[in-house]
Amino acid sequence: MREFIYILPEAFLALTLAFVVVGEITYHGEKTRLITLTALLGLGSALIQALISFGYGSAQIFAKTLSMDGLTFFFRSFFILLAMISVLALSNSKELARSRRTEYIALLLAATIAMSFAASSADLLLTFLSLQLVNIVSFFLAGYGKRSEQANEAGIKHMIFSAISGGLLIYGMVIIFGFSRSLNIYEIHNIIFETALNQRAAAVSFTLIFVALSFQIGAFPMYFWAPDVLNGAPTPAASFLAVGSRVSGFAVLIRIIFTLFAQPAAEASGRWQVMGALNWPSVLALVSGLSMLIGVFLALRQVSAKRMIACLLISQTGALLMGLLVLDWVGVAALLYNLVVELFAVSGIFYILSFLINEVGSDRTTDLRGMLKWAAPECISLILFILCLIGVPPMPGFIGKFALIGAAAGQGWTILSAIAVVSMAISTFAMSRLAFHLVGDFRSVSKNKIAFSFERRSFMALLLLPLLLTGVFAQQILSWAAKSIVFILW
Amino acid sequence: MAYIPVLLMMLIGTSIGIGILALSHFLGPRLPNPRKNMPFECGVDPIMNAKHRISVRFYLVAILFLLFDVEAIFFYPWAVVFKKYLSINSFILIEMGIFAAIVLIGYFYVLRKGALEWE
Amino acid sequence: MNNHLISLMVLLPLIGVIFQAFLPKRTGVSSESLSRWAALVTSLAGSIFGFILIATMSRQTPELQAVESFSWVGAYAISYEVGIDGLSALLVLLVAIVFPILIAAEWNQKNGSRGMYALFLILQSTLAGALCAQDLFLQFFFWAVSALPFYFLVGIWGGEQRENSASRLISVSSIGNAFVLAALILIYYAADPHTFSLRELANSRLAEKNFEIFEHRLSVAPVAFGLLAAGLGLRTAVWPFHGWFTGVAKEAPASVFVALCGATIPVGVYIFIRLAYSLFPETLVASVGWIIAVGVLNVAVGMVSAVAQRDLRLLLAFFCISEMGFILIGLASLNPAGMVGAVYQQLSLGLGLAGFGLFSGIITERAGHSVFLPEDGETSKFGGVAMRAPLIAVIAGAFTVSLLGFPGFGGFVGKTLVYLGSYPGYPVPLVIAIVTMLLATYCLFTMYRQMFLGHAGAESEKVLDLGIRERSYLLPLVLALLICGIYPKPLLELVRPTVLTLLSLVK
Repeated sequence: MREFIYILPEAFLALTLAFVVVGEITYHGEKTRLITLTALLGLGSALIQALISFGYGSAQIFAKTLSMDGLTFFFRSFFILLAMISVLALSNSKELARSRRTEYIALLLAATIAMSFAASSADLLLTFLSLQLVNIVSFFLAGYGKRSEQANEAGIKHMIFSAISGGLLIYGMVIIFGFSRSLNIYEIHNIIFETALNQRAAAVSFTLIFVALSFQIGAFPMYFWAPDVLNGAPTPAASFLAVGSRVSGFAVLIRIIFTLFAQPAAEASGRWQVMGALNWPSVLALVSGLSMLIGVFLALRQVSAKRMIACLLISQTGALLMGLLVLDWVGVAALLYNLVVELFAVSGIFYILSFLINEVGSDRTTDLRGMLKWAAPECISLILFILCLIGVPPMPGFIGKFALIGAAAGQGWTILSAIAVVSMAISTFAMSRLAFHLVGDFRSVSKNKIAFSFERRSFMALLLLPLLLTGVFAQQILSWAAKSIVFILW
Repeated sequence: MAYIPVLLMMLIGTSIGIGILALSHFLGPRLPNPRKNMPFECGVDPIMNAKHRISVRFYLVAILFLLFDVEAIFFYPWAVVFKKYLSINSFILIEMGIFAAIVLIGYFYVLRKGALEWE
Repeated sequence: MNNHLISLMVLLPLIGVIFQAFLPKRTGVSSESLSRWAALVTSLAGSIFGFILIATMSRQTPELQAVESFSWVGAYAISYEVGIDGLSALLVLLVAIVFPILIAAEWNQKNGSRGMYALFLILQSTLAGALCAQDLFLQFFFWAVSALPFYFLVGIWGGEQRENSASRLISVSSIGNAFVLAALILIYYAADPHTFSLRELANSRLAEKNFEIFEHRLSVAPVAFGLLAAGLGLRTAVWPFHGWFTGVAKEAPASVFVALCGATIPVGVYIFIRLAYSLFPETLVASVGWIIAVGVLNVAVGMVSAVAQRDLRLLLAFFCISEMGFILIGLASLNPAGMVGAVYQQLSLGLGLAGFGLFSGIITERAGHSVFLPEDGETSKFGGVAMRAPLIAVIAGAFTVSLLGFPGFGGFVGKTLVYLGSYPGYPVPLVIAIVTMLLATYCLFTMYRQMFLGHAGAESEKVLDLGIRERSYLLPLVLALLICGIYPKPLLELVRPTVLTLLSLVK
């Protein structure tokens, strides 16, 4: 029973989900405001409980299937915050009819519960199960615009890719389970530590698990879904997916890589080294470099704004992987910092894009011509958010990118850091094309101005302000992230 | 080693089935006839083209049956250890109650959304 | 003394930006004039702090003054460390003078004036920050941010081909910034312990560090120096990389071009001087020959191209390239006189270019174009303007003469010092450079004759004389140039000690 207190946030989320579902079946699409409010209250209380849980200390609970450590607390708060932002962003989107919002919120909550469990699970089966739940809910979210062909395509694509990756994941896990006869990753770590896994088996299982997780995070071998899914899904869903499923993939990746394939280094604390003879950091480096280049070159060719952002996200994932392969707490802290920055930046980008799409009806850059004159604060904020994603000063994305590149360069991955710098430069071109279309023909007679909406402006400010604060208080966030990754090996 | 008879049985069964079909295909007479070539529909004349779409209601009912059947399956192991854990405290009853309640909410959702309506 | 003059100088224009962004939306004249005056006031406020800073600097010491230091991201030893010394003092003065004048020059901008003022204020703040930053990360931060406003300034308010030139500008700037970032990372990881503070890096003896790439050991210093030189050279339009610059010259509004050539390019050269002298003394000494060669090439190519120009703005652009060559010669001469001359020339060149650029902007505004030299066989469009608009003629004459380096104006002091300093070491290149300067006299006097003297041309009556507003911002420039030419002593005294200290590091 005492263990139950650790999963109080998920319990609150489940209760909120129950309330939202009951609300839906009672009101059948009416009273969406009430239900949204309920959802927000539930999320808020879950967030408060998640933040309180930071003080509980670490534990492995429920027969060692869940590991409640710094990483869990960090990611749980992250996901609940993401859900809150997504629910708030929902109110301004015309792509989803009002009557369908409650079900959407229910799906969001279910995905959040799944993501929290994925981030905290210390058991191979539970990891697989939660990732599958994340994916299943994701394809409902992706295909939410039932009547749109693109949404259907997005949903099916997501489903097929996630099915393949689920299969690969479980196959990789099975190999490791067959060797170690235990499902708890910390016990497996101890067993592999003593008697190393066969080289070939380790290679195969690493490849399978990594390819499966590369679908989740949107990195090189399985990145194909990202442009189509993020383009076809309704924009609020795209925002949630772009951050949520990717970050849950990263959470699982961090845990699995550092427990199953690495061990604490002998000479210094805070550093890891590869366990066994498999040289997987090079594999990760290859994947990271390729993702960065592919993402950036794809982004240059895109005509639709949402697809361009999706390709920039592929490149961003490549950069984030650099934080993992350095096997150092500095790298992982930089990775976590970047995820926090991404949360606000990507949510902001998609929120403003959904607003622009509402007004114009499409998100092709040619149709967005001249938006700067119409809706100046929105376009300027959009440019600022994209700058943050790319990593251009003065936005905090630059500090994050610099931390990642620096971590790689410090460990001697010079070519990788060079690729990262080059991809930063090229992504600036892509952004500048979008910005240029937004500017359009500035001197032409402007159409009537957009109605001033206080809640839209305040929501944008709500996203922009924490973003700027993460820049100013970078040191605090980096040290908090560093503390989070001190997790126990039982 | 002990499973060789199973393998043998599989092989024999497969070969008998394939063999009979093959023999009848090669040795039998070939006299096609329009009435013989029509698709089989329980002995009556076919009503429609085989390619027409099947209503999605069948799929919904089947999937919902599957879900609740799996829930029922989960009751069995629980029932096996129920007595032993009941003597410690009543948590096991509450826990299964919560599980059933979660699935029940799902059931009410399905009911109210009209997924089980036949028309 | 831990006063906050520098932070105030950097932050006040930013407050102006926020004000411009959140100005209440009342259409009509009142809102526009509110935004104009607010922009001017905040810019002047920042400049006043700059002036106070310079005035309160103590002469005769090479040390950093008005230092402020806070730790920002301790994990990477990044700190908010700013200070001013002889090298940056003159350029702080330049930035402080130029930007309020630019805002005054764009007083009558109708389209999106708030955005333009906001972008100029951002430029003022970031350039001032880049000048005073003593932490490499901070300096790069400000320098990289200063590339962005130009993209929007050219792209929104530019001429016909503005999309193209803006895209080229941002592409080249991004590549330049990327090179500098790469150099930064190399330097950071080569220093031991890793740090970004310029003070500590100067002591860290980078010349002895190596790094590995593709299984080869390379020495950090030449590679980082090369990356820095390439990156900064791309953005300051040094000769092989000047293509984007001449494109922007045609398309950008005059004040934007002035901000580019009069403020940003001198700041870029300053960053190069500071980093080369503090971090890579040995590499600098070894590559002095290259720098002089590039400088001479700049002078020659720039001047020869300038002679062939028919448009005032392109003339200015090539002039700027050629004068930059001179500054490069001066700073590579490794001679106190040469270096002091180079630094002083940055100031007077910046002021002269600013004045000339604004003058060409006035002509463009009045007549719609700035082609002063007709095609062969045609008569000059302008001509005899001196009789109709004497004040413009006098002021244009002042700027022209300062650019040429005639005694009495700022250009003379700087150039003479550069000649004196580089002659002992590199007589031949210097002679080449001086010979090409004669071409400058030819082309500028031709321009003056075509425009101001002679018979009235077809469009001469469009060139009205200066209004009060224009007088108010052009006359201070002329005055500043005069003071720089006649009484340079206080400014030179600011620069000399720092230059001597830097040179002693190199020797």
